[in-house]
Amino acid sequence: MELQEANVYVEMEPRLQAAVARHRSGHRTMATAATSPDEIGVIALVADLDAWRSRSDVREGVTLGETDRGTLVTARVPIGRIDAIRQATEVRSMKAAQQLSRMLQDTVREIGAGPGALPVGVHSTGGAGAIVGVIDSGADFAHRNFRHLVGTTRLLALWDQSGPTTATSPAGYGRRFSSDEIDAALRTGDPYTALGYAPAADTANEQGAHGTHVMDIATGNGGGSGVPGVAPDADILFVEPALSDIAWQGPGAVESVFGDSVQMLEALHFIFNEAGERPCVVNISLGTNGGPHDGSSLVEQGIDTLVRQRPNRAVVIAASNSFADGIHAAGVVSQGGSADLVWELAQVPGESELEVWYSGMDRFAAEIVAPGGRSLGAVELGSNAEVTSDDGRTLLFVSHRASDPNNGDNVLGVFLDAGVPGPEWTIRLHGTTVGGDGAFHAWIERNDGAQSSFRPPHDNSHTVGSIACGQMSVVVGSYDAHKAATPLSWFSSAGPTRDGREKPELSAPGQDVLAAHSRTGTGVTRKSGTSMAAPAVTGLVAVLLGEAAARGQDLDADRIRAIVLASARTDPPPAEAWDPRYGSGRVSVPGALKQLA
Amino acid sequence: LPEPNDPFELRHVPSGPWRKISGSASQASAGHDDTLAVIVKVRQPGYVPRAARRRAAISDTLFTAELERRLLPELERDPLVVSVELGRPLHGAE
Repeated sequence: MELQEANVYVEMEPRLQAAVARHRSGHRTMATAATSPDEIGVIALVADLDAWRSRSDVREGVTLGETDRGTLVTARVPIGRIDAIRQATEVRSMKAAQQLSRMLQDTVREIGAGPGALPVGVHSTGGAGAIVGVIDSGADFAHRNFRHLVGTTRLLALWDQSGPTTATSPAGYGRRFSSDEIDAALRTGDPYTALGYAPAADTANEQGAHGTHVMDIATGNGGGSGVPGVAPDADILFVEPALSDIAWQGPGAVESVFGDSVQMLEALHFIFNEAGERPCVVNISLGTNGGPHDGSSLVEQGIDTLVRQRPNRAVVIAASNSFADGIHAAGVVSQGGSADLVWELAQVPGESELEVWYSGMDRFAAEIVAPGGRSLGAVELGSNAEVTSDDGRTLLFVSHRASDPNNGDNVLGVFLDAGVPGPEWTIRLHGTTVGGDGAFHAWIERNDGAQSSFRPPHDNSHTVGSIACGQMSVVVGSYDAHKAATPLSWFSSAGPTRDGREKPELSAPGQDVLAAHSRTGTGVTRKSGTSMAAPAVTGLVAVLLGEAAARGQDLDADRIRAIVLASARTDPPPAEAWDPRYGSGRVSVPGALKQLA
Repeated sequence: LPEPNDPFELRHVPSGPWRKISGSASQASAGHDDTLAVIVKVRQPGYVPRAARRRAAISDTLFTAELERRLLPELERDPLVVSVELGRPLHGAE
């Protein structure tokens, strides 16, 4: 890497200089909704509006108004003409348009995390003294937002679960990098190669690593991008989940899969072990659809156990983005009656899977109806059935388990291979014996390449992710902080849990968030999702834990949850009751800190 | 009922579903002799079944482990094992 002097008009505004320099070096910008390739949006102060409008190299935008020095206007101009336009006599000044309304600072401002918004008497700011743990894909340790002013890393450790196994590997696999090892790599010209770990390079579908973006919202210090996250003074622990540390059989080998629930639990165990007695909050912006949705799964029991083991621990989980996906259905089957689940396959081939959970006091039979309406037969409770191809491949598999040991409920699982025909299959539930309420809930597992869904109209309740239904986690929905009304994000999943508990607990800005772009050193990229909302709350909890530590207070998980919920802002949502998507309200850093008094 | 030689003939699988072992239907259908990552809950603190290699102790009665799929029946029969959960793939919520 070599620093080269750029011969660009030095009095020009820096972002315009950068655009001109990039243009001269051969870079071409992408077209956006407002600009053509190799154009840039500008705001200009012009002395002669007619002369400005007559220029052939100016695509006029809007007139913003008069000032005492001229008229303020917007326009799109060719990057190659910036020099000429900037020096024209009718132009007093010109700046590149900034998308300030989409910066991470909107998250920080809207939730009140900036220093000026904190209540009087706060002892600690920015999560100093606390640790933010992140379990996610792609930690760009070289990005300046995760380095101290002197250039050293803010990461206390990084566990790459896919890394080479050593004698000291956590849980017996992957590689743990210490802060010393990361610092040594940062002192080289190619820190990624030196460390043997790197966030994935950009692809056409993925601009910037998910984990770097998430980490920045929670705890970036703005050292590169200029915009800090919610808890910029916290220390960091990061775990990169293995795609699979051992062979995983099934429909998991797609690019959006970030490890599995076992590795995630091991990652959480690792982070809390590394943190020791220090306050620590862990962000999990991962999820899946299949599961009991009542907090009884072993991974959720594991999360609850780890959080309860020591004070000053918390886990924050993204609610999920499944609200509009049609992946949930519910109903009631009466004794001798039936209910149909019509399952529409994607138009492109892909594996599909659904689960139906119902009371252990009921006994259903599951009739499988193929496309065209022909019944293949019924699968009774306590039995498995399958359809195989001539070469022995499983095309359809049905597992009908009685009395799950963790909650006593029955569960029906149906798996369809990519080769089965569409457009729709029907799972007909027959009420053989209804000793309970006959109620059932069904979820279709996520498959980004070929997502199937239930036939509309959809019941989009109960779409919170299945690892997010535990007792102790804090689950976060998403809203749009760029609009004054802070509307819900269209994708943000809804509660409650299957056993009727109120999740998500609260919501945070998660739409169009610009945060750290991996492998750029200083850049940012835009992402949306409850993945981006959860780390805002993670940052809040880090600030809260840092302040509590500064005051000599211990906060157990119940107290942390109570503070966060009590401080949530309403209007929206209405103050009267918990909202299935906003939760108790919108996150508030000052509100949480005031609860400590 | 399916017609003779129907390519979609539903056949009942002789071995019924596990009672203690939960996981997705695709995992239940897998017949490979592979190694699995699981979460195990046991009745007796500190107990680890012979078939499992413990990886991380979450508590005295809850741990992560790996084991060969062919040994799952041992855990199913083990009276000290409460439940076994196979890992589910996780996705980013972006």
